[in-house]
Amino acid sequence: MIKLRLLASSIYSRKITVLLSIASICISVSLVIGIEKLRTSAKKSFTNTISATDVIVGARSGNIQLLLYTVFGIGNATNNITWTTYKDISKRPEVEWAIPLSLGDSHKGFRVLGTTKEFFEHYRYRQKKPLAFKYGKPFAKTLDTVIGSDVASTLGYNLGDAIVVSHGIGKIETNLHDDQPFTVVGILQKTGTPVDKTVHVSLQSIEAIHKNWKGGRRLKAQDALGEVQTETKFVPREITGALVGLKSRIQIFQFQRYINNYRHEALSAILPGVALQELWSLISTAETALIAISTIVVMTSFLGMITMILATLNERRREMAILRAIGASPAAIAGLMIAEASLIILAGIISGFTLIYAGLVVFRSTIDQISGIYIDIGFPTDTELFAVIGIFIIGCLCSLIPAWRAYLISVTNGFHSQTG
Amino acid sequence: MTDQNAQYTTRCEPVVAIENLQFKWQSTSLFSLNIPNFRIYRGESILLLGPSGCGKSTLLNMICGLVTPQLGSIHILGENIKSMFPHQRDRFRADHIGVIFQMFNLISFSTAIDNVILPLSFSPRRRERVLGTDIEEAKRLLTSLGVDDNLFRTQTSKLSVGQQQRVAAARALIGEPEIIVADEPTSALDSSRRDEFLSLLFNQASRANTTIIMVSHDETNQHCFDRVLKMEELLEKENQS
Repeated sequence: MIKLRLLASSIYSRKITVLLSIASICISVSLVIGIEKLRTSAKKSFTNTISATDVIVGARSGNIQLLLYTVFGIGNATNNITWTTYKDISKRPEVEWAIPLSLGDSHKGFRVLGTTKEFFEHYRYRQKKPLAFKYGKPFAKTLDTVIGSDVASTLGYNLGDAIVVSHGIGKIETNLHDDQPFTVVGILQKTGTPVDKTVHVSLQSIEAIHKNWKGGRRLKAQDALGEVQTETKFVPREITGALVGLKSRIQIFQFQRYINNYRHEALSAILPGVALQELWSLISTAETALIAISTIVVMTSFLGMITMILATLNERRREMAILRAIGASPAAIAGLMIAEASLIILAGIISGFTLIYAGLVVFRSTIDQISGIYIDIGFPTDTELFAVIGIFIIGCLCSLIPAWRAYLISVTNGFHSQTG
Repeated sequence: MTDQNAQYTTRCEPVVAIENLQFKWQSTSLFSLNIPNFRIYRGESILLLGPSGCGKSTLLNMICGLVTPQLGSIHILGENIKSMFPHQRDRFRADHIGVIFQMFNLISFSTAIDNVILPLSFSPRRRERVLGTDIEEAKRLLTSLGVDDNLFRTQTSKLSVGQQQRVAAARALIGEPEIIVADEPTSALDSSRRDEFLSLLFNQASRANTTIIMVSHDETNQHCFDRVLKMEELLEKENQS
């Protein structure tokens, strides 16, 4: 008990430097835990981009490429699927629902997705969370559009605004469908997925605005808008891909095999979860970099702590001499040093945990709003606990350096020499 | 040697027995301390006088087992301290020796009470000798050494030098060690406080028949001690014997 009190009063007597060490460890621990939370949440958010979709169908291509252009709107399709094929697939007995996707146009850098109303009904993200409307409703007329939250916030759009779609996906908009502007009828809630950066229109409207186009060029002026908007007979000839939900998950592999061996057209069917994992593993270098940075930060804070303890050792020679004189062994003095460092590390870890969890409680919704990364605040994960235990052990090992120094000083010093 | 000292030599077993002791620091080639024969007896109070650098503190270090001589033997309470392992020497010191320094005697950030009871945490044997609780014993010693009870919980860095020396004496006395080693404990005190301090220390030490070994370069306290030896005299005299 007296040793604990000695330890506590020793630490208290150097409270400023000790507090700085604790603050340094606290920041590095919160950084490590924060990065780990962010990493796992980003991974989760990434892999949760699409949920409850069993299979994605597209023209024959690689898993990642198909995933990138259908879900993330990155890159281009190698080929399209005919509407007949889509209809054929969607009528399969094991298919519960199918959503056609038609890509190829853009609006001020944002992708335009031609789809059906079922997209808003069946598309799920983050553990089967459905899309929700912040304002408005799904498109009803041909030239209605529903925009993602990032499109609305970036371009400052509100319900009723008119937007013009550009042919192609180039950054410079040269071939505008300016004769047929769309009207914003819905703005979606933020999802943290590529949906936020997408302009959703009906498949019919995609066909309608391309009615008199060939080879990326308009042939002649379009008819009056009113005529187009009342047109209901625009049937798509081709689409880019389709999201498919099956009645039973047991049928997934059978259905995938069927699509991959489809006789009339070269198709690919991918499982979104598997493809997302493959894609994440490709970008895991960033993950490694984050871990490396947090490791360096932790080591830096330990160096700070060692420096602090070493710097005070000379001032503490008298304290060590007194302890030696009253019977403390050098090992006991070294033990006090290790105990002191352990307490500092423990305080740093506890305050680091408190800081990051308090920060997450306060800023979680803001982070979600800004980045779309939804961070779970639960009991620390195994990885976090391992990281913290690792930090504690490494910190204690680091404290052996000043402890060894204290041991040597107390062995050689004997009494604090005052006389001959 | 006085008649009283002669009585000690005949009646008692020595608590410190040094034979042909030779010691040199690693950095030097010559032996800086050479004591052929020296004994201190139970209950005796002895003052070793000598100027700075004559080896007084080195001798105390050896009696406490903090440094060991290269040659010769040094027995404390019949135990050959030189042949002990370092951890055994530390334990032996904790159990049998109380120490008072010249100044900066105390853990400055701890209270007076905590400083006094600290040695007990390194020596269960001394704790066993304490009647009542550690804190009660510490309070008793502090009171008997003239420390006000309102200072018991005060950080020792806030005490005067005289008060600090009394706390140090209480720390050395707690658990009734057989030997008290004091390294110029009165040098920072004025003459009236010096006498008062020694008187209180001797009173408490006599209760447990504790041996007091004190080194100093100040000869004014000679009258308080059973035996007074000058270091050079000790070496010469012991060389002759």
